[in-house]
Amino acid sequence: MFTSPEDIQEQFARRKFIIGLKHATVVFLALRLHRPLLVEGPAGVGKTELARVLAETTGSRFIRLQCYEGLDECKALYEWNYHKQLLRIYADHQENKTWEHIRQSIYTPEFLLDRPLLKALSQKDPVVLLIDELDKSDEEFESFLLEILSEYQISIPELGTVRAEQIPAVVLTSNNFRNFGDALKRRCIHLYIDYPDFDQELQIVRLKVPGIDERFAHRIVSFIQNLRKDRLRKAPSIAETINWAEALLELGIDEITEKVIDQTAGVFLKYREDIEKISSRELPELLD
Amino acid sequence: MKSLDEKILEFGHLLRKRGVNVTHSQIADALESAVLVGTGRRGFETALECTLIKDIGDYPVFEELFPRYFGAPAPDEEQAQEEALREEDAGEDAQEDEDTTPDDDDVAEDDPRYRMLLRAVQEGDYLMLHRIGKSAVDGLGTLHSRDVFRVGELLARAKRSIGWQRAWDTLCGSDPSGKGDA
Repeated sequence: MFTSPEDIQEQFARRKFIIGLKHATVVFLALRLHRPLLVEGPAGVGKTELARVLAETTGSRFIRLQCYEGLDECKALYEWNYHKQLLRIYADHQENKTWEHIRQSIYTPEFLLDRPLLKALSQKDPVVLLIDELDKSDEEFESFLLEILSEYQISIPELGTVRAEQIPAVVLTSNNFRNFGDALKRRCIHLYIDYPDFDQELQIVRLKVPGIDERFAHRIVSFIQNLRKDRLRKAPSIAETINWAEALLELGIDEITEKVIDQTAGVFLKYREDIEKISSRELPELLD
Repeated sequence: MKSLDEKILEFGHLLRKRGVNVTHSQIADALESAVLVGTGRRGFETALECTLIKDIGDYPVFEELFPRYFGAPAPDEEQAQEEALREEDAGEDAQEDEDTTPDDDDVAEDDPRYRMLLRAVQEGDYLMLHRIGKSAVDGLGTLHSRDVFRVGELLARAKRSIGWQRAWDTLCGSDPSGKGDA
């Protein structure tokens, strides 16, 4: 367990993950209070990565539940292995077993398919449970999840109650497609991660693209930072800054010119309208 | 003088007046967090922010009310303290410098830590005292075996971080400025 927010910063940095003191403090508090950490912010700022690094640094098992529209308990919690149960019924029939015997035999852990939530709760070792892009799930799923996050237990009618061996560290992420209910938000410790500032992003680029020239890294980061101020349909994220820096390094380019941007804009902009928009801008104002 | 939990409660009330929905369990979380984060205004602010504010849209209200209620930040002072701590880690010469700075003797009078310690002693709240002690030790960060040679200095740092001297002065009456609700 971490001894302080600074300790989190240090250990995360060893895994090449830069986290500001404020964010580290919030993570520290969520862990100490045993509360789920609700991480919100634009796509590509490292929300998922935060959970992964948290699992690595705490030596925990990493269990991920990806949310989507229509996600239900069967896919999130558990379901009975229907096909296997049928086979067992068939086999038992051949041996003239009684129905009572069959019924008892097919509702045993052997026929249970545990999905991420049940898996996280039944682990004996420490777990980091990532519930990714919760905003994509339905409201029904949210209330169901809230129940689990308050009780840390699951009741399976045929088997009984499964109580968590230890309270898992839960990280929920959201891109703000949908607003959550008050009850869920109150249950969680809230962390908003925005795009990094200039110094932080420069630090990340240096760390992730080791061979890059210092002065050139400055130019790349200030260019991207300026782009984010524009009203783009999809602003470049940190991952895109890194990809672009790597691409330029690979191409042996060490100066940002209009021609270079023409050739490589597809690396950091994902929409045609965005690319057209920046090609109409004067380059010098984006580089300052 | 109000105790820290009263202040946090009142601050929650202020937020509620401005339309931010703050529940009692959130207040309890905020108080526990304030104990956990150790010293420093920024840590305290973060502790309150992440427990009391759950909506991105409510951040501006918090940013407006926090300095108004808990006093304007003294960035220079805090920066100086942080730098002093950093230098302290760097080498012994720096430690001496830091030790001779009179302002660094203890936390500020309005620091929540000192008031929490004071209240815990007055009410005989051993659980709270234990937590404060733990937070002070945790605040020292990772310790190495060679640190046994500077136990005195570490102890002084831990005491300083929880406002020990000021609480002592207040309780023993040698500091007329900090009578508090003794």
